[in-house]
Amino acid sequence: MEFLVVSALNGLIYGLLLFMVAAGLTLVFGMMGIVNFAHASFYMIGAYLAFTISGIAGFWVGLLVAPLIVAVIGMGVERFALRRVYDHGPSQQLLLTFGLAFVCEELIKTFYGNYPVAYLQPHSLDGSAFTVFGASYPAYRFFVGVVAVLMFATLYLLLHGTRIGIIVRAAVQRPAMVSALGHNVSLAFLLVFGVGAWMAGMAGAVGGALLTTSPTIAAQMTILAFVVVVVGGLGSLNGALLASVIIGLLTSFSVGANVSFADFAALFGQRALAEQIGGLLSLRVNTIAGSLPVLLMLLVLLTRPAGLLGERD
Amino acid sequence: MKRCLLTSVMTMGLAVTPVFAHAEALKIAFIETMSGPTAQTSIPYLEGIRYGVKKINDAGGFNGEPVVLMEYDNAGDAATTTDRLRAAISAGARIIVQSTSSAIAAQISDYIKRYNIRNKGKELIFFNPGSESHTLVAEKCNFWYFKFSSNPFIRDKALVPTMKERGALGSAVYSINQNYSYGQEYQKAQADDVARAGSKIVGAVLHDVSKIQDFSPYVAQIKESGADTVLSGDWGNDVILLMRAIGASGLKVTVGNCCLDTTGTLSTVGHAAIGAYLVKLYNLEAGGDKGKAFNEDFKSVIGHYPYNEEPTPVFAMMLLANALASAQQPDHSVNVQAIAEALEGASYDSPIGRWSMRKEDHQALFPLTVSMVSTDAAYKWDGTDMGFKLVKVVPPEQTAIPVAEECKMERPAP
Repeated sequence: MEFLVVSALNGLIYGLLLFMVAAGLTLVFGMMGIVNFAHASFYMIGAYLAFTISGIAGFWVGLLVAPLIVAVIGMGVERFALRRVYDHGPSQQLLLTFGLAFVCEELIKTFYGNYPVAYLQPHSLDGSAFTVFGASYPAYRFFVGVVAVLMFATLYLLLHGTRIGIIVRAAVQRPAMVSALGHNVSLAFLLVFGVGAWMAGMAGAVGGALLTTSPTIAAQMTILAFVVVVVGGLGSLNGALLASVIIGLLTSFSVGANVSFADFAALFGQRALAEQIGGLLSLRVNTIAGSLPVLLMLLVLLTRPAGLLGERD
Repeated sequence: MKRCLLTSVMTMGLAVTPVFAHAEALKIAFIETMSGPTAQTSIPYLEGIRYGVKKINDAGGFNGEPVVLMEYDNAGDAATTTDRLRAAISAGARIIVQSTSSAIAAQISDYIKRYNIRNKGKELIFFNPGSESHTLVAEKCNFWYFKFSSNPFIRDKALVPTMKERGALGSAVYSINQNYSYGQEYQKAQADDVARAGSKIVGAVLHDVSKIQDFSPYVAQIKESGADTVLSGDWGNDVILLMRAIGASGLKVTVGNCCLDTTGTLSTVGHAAIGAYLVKLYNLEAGGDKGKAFNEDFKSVIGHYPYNEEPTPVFAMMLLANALASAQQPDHSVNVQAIAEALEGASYDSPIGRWSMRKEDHQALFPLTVSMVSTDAAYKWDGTDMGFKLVKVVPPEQTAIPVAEECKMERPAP
């Protein structure tokens, strides 16, 4: 029972971290149709900037300032790079952001080296948040979950409760019409990209201390972020939340699933046959726990390509 | 008439002047991943090889000429490796050095085996100070291939009994490793050695390599199994995340690992690492005065104390230096077969014990060190207040594992 509860909590919080990264990506993808391969690079830049700033002015200042810098970088990328390739089609945008991801990784390696850096959580959050079944649950993990929930709440309120939110949501669906109505769609695009980058930077600032901060985290996060976006539905914030929580829980619980297809075949008395055939049939679920999100994406693409909460065009 | 006489005298003079053959320089090609996500694991090998070559050249080189080291970047890629191999061979390399990726090592081993069959008299030696896969000295064992690294079986053979001696190996052991050949070998080695030590493996899991970001589910599993010791061959980000997850959960287990000394690991893991055991080919505290002298000399040449995997290629190169000394040819040419035969029987007395080459499968035999992460180590590591306090130096006789049955080495005629 303890294992179930702790795993559920861990999976939930890991999912929420993924949501922070994927939310910006799905908004940008849904609204501007841009496949932003550099989005997870914003995550990495956020982590490294937070590391540097927290070394000078403390963790909380780093947490506040780093995402803002990343937002500025994001807006700069949109204004000076992406805007030039809008007219040339999606493949040019993809290539641009792909190249940007490489450049970011090499820049990080130039300034910070090839190895992980010691970006650690603040001492004030070192203890336990609460006890569950006699074991203490780490306070910092809980903090990450709280930040993610606050971020989702803020974003939701922004999109559904403010005027600019209405414009953004309309521009996601009908950009030409919104522009014809006299709204500054370019500015809306710029802001959305900036907010997306801000969220990824914030995710990096909290996630970098929870997981590692090294030059490889962008590549690892990119895959998961795209899986979340595809599974949840392009452009759907609720979908991103649902998908990221599902993936977090899936990864968390599959680690404990020391079963394989051969065990399932045992129900029909065919265990020996399954094990003799070997290969996929004797593959244990917990050894592929890291690949299950991608398998889920494959399943979703085959059965419901628009995503769980996405809309078909 | 006079001019004709002059030219003919000069021509005859030139003809009878003995033409001294220009002594052939030995060229070593270092082909390794110098770019891409795994580039940092190659840096210790590069530095170790550079130091070793410098030492050989300081002592006079080979054939009176300095040994030439050529460096090639294969970006960790199979196709690029073949390309670089060809480039190295056409540049005159006779010894190919590669470390890290066992998959690339297997590829190079096969390539050189075929090349040597087709090019008698112009053979190449494959000098491998880092790759660990056991198949390289089992099915793929080869007269021209020399392996200097330990492997999971060798390391665990030294680590587990030492942990047992020190009372650090509890009765319930959890085994967690990466899901590829290395991790699978580790899992098997851990199972065998723990059984031999009289403890029980209460859980064993293989996980994706460098993909899992959140190890807390595994820690929850470890907790549920009731283990008091964790043995893992994890390296890089995986071991960092595992140790941090164990520390964050407050779980009290002793960890036995091989790779906590990689740069960035101790500083990121923090004090959660204290009490963990490390098995490695060298420890800065070992070797007494000889060890200290080596540490200081290495620092003066490369710029820092030898860490991680650096001593392995250094000692391997020192063994090569001893072999080269007895493979000099009277006509100063490079006879690779003679070098290989000399390497087979070579040995080197490192500061911590004797390194030697086993003739049957070309696996090097060497001592290993077991240490514990502690705040009262003599050499502080990674900018933290912790270091690796030496627990024991395990002599070569106790670390050697038997020759694989699959190894059928074909020896060329002398």
